[in-house]
Amino acid sequence: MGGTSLTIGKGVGMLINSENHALPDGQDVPPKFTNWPAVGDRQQRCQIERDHVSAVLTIKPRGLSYLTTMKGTDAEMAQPIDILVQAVSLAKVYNGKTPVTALCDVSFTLHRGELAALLGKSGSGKSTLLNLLAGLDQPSSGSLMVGGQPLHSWNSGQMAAYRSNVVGVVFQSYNLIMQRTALQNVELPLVFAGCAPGVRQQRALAALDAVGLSPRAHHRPTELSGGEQQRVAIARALINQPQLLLADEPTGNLDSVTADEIMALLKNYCREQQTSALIVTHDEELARRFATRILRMHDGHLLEDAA
Amino acid sequence: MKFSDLIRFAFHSLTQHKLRSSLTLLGVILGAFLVIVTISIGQGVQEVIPRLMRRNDQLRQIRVDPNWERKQLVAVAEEALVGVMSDERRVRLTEATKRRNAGGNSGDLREPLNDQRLAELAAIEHVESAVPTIAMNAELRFRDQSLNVNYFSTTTENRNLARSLVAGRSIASNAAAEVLMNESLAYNLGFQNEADLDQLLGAKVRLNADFGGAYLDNMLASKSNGLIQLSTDDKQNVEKVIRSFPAVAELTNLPAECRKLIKHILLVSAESLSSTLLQPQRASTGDLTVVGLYRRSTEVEHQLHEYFGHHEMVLVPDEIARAFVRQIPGFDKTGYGQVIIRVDEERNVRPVVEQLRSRKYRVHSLVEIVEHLQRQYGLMLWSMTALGTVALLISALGVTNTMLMSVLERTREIGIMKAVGARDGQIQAIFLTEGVFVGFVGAAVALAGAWGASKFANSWIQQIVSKEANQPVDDQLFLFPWWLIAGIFVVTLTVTLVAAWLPARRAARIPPVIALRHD
Repeated sequence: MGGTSLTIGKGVGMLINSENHALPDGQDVPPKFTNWPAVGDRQQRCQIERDHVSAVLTIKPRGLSYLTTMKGTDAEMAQPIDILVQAVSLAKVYNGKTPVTALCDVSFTLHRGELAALLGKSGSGKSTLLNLLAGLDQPSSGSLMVGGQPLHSWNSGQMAAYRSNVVGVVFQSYNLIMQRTALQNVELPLVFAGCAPGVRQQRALAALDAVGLSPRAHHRPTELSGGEQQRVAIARALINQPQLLLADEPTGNLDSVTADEIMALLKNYCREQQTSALIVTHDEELARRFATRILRMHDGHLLEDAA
Repeated sequence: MKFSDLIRFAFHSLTQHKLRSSLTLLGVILGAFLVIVTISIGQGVQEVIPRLMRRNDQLRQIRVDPNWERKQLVAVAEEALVGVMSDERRVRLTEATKRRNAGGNSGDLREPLNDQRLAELAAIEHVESAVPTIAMNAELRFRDQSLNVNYFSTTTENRNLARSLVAGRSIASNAAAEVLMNESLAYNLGFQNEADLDQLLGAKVRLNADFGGAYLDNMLASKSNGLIQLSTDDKQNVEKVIRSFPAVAELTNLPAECRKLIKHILLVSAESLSSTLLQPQRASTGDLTVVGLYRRSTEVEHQLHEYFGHHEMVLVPDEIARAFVRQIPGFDKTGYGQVIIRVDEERNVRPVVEQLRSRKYRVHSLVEIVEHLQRQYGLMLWSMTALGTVALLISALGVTNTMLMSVLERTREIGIMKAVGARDGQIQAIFLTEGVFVGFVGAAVALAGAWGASKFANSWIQQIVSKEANQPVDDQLFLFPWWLIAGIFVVTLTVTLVAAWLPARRAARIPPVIALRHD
């Protein structure tokens, strides 16, 4: 960690503001968008209007229990608003010379603001489930609803919009682009979201500040420690204020102190932002300390789902 | 994703592998350079040729030669050719016999270009003038000196003449009794010192031509050492006797038909004999004032169609030259050897040419030659352009190859970008922009290089031609019209865009989960 201490309260606090702002055309802005460094009205409106999926997921007032109906069958749409993720009989089979069933009949729900830990041995299907939830892959069968939307039937464009606006992913191997600085890596999602350079740089600096890395903003990943790289990856995952945060062993390569700091950062963020999180980990003790719920997988099956 | 981000991404990606990108760029630059240079020089040549011709109004001029009518071949009976021979040989020999019986290959002059014809030609619509070109030999008399010179008719419209004068001035008018003399002739006449040349100006010279005649006078004077000289009455008596000579035919006891034929032959012969024996056949320009001295045209001037009489020793005003050659015996039958017609506008040359051809004249127009030359050069230069295009296409393969490698190397990066929200179209746009970036930079550098090289080449060529022509030459051999500048960008960008399309599409289609697993 190089002596860098996390300033979660200060950093994340900047991101929290419950006050609603109204756009010129009367469109409500989601509360959590408004407290980022100044975003022009146009960018905000573009951000909201550009993707219908994002708009529905972010604009609906939290805690309302009416059903969200956009597309799909009535059965698919019938999902309480406080449930963010609903997986029903999810399966994933990799077709090759010998077909491999990575996921089999996995059903679970994830509520808004819930931080769940996903435990399991290597090859149990954790990463596969994470990829499906991240919109990086499609299930072979079953249904996967996120915010009431049928993720399993979306095309690549809708999936890209989903990845851009709804989900944030922290990979075990960080997946940072080595040729770009920490700042450039963090602002990458905003680049594809069409955010103006000045605005996205301010937001990326704020996100790096939130994870305590603003002094290292112009360093490349090769110049950062493992923990710092992981925090850059977290800042990148959070910069678009995702509804769903997915982390694949975010502490797997870190020492215990840094791992605790990272987990605390994620937990605080989820609590303050009412963001759902699913964190894959091998460390059961860590999971019990930070997660509000534990899911356990074995050979592609979900064995345990306990609070 | 903003356009500026696409540019930034492309630049960033290309600078990651500087050597590879530079080599790819070099290929595009060379291809585009070849295309630019060939089209540029093609344009230059296409414009320089008519411009050079236009400089002396050459393109408004039409050269008209008298038309010669081929003689009617005299039929030969099949059995006239004896001997055993192949059919092909029989055909050849029959043809040769017909031609020989007709009096050889030469034909009859259909319409001599005399003054009446000249007036007709000048009356054709759009024709400004019809001036004969006269170039012949004559005796030049200067004081007590006599030299055999060739002379050439000229007009006040000869623009090149003034530039070539080394002393004096050009002719005052086309009918002025003046003459321009070559400096080498002046030297032969005794004006060796340059300072003495002015003394020749204002001097009188005379051009004479002797075509024979007065044979009786000459022979009598020669044989009697000048003692016997015939008076006018004596000559009239001799002519009377000669003209009565055909009547001798009636004194023979030949058949009437034969006598008639012999009488006709004697009549023609008597007329010719009378002319030859008694009438002097001479021509003279009368006194002409030397008003200017000129130098000989240089080879380059000659090649540039800026000559004004390459070998001629004396230049005579058109009207004077015409009056001189009209004195030549039989001129009415032969006429002028050549006439130059000047048309009011270049675009009217073709219709006038067609009209002259319909009147059976042999016509030569530089417009046709220019068109022919332009076609020839155009064909050659388009072939070179095609080669340049092939080079550009080959460089496009380099772009494709480089970008395919780039896609392979950046597969994981592509996965990351997709994982954070990049759409397929955005990934494709990133790689297409790289291709376009290479194309744009390649075209710009090639254009700048070609422009720089052309400046150097133009300057070098102008220097050489100016030195040879002894006058400033500012013709541009390389031209860069706006459409070439715009076109090279369009072509190069299109080529590189197409070259980048396959790698870009491949990059866009990589599933994110597979891309992220790529090591």
